[in-house]
Amino acid sequence: MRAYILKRVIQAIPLLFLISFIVFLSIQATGDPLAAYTVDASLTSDDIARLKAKYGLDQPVPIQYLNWLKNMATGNWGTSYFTREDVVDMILERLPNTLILFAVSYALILGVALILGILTAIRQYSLFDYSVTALSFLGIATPSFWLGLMLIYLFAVRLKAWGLPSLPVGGMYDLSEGKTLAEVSRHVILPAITLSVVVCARYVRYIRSSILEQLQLDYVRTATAKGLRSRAVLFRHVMKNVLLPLVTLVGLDLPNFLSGTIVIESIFAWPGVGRLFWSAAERTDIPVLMAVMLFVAVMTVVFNLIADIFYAVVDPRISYS
Amino acid sequence: MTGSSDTSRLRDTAPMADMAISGALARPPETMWTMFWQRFVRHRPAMVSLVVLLFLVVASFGVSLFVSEDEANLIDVQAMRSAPSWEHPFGTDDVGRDMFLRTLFGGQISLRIGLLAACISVVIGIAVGTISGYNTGWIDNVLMRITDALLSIPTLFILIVLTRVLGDHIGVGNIAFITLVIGTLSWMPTSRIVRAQVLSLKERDFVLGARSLGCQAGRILVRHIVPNTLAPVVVAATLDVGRAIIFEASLSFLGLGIQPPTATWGSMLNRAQAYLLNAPWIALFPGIMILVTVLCVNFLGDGLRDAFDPHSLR
Repeated sequence: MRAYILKRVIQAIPLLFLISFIVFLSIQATGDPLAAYTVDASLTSDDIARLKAKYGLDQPVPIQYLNWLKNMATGNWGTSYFTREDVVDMILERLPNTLILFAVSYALILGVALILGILTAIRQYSLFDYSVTALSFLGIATPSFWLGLMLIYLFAVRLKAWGLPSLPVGGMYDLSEGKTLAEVSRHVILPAITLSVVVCARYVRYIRSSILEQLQLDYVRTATAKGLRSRAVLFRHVMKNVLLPLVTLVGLDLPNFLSGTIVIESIFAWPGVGRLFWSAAERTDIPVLMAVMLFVAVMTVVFNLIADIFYAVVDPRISYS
Repeated sequence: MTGSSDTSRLRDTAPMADMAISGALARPPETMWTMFWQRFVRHRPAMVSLVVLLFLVVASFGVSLFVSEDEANLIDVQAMRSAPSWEHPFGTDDVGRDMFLRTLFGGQISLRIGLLAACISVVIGIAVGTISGYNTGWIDNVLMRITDALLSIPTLFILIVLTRVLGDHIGVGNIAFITLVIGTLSWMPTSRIVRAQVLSLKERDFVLGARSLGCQAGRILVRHIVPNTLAPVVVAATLDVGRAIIFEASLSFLGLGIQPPTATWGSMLNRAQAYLLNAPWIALFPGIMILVTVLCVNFLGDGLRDAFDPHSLR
């Protein structure tokens, strides 16, 4: 078991190097980092050369890459061009907010998808099954940012115009109320629903077809033959096999979820990592852009690694050799 | 070798067999493609989607015959933010441009980007997948690790950095550039599908046969292996079209994609949020167009998947 975990961790290392290299190449593509200085006429070419030497820009590109990598590894991720803040602090400050959004979204996704997936599978070809399948096709095709706008219109703008209790259009809490649990939960509802719909629709279809597939297998017949009630067969035997691959699926979905946070956090003014990235993009704040990109990529790799290891621990059919 | 009773039975049944054969010949012969088409036609949602998509293509490209793009982008401050009416079926936007015409012109670009980006993605995906599936060893290893790495960086993050940063050099909103970037960032799932197919196909007897006839590796790949991977690739390509349309829309919505006055479904939504209160139709119609297009493309993919699968006899 320990050998297996070690092997998976070691396999992730070249991947991380490759990712860092891709991110570094994107930095190189941005052109001369001192371009902003050369506009200043009072700087002589000597000054530029000195600046280049100071930042190590006179070194060959491979050396620059190694230096950059060393800085990244030692936690020196640079400072924002605009706020002069340490990039790591900026990310860590916003990370909990994105995690709140992530937790609420996935609680919604898994809860709704499991209920609908099970119901459609046990009532295959019923009217309910057909309507949920049609709705999930719609959900998969929905551009999430547009869904966000529609939800704001319905639940924030319209309800308020009708004088009904409404949800906030954005932000994380009202300044007058402060950052209380009730305020944050009121504000998290719309962005979480927006982020959930597409993924949830896919999971409903996955869970439905996965249950139907399992029901064909021999162990289900055995369980039924020995006199178990169908409910017991479903929850005690079938669901175990349906839920396990979901762990991997959630891991693989993380990049998509993070892509979604850029747009959705921007629409709902949710102060998370996605919005940090977007505001940095608007100002071409390159250190922040690169740091967030590297951070989310590393997070994805680590998350997938954990999902893999978890899967191996829980599923006795996987051999660790 | 056969007994006399056997031959007599054969003789007895011969006229009936003749009739059966001539009956079969009366119908056109069932080739792979006619069977494919029969299965596809039976998939009702896919057929409806095909019709809707054709209609969208004809409408958005045909509008150019009647109205020029400048006319569609005509600013009319007299008619700012007017609600949908007979004159303006989709209403007008914040500077009084007719939303209906702009939605049609926007369709030209959104559909073109979706299709071309999917083509680019399929070409790269097939190339990477076949090369890495056919050559086990370090080439396979390197290509697959690159695929893994690109899959680990959320696509929209790279898209934004590239369009934002390179946009300054190439020109923000260059349609060809955005198509290229979306295409080159979406080939990874296709390449994995192709690789898996190639890995199993190259062990088959027909490949061994071709090789023993002296066929060279390149010819074996192009003539014998790649054509056999096409079915799942076409299905993956339809998904790529939908994804590319949504990526373009997200980029343009954020203001990094196609720039005004050129309309795309995403860029028309760019300022819609500010007018949700007074002019919600600005947000409504372009989004519905994206939804309908992606929905139809996905149904089409579903229909193709069933039609390619000879076991599916619905």
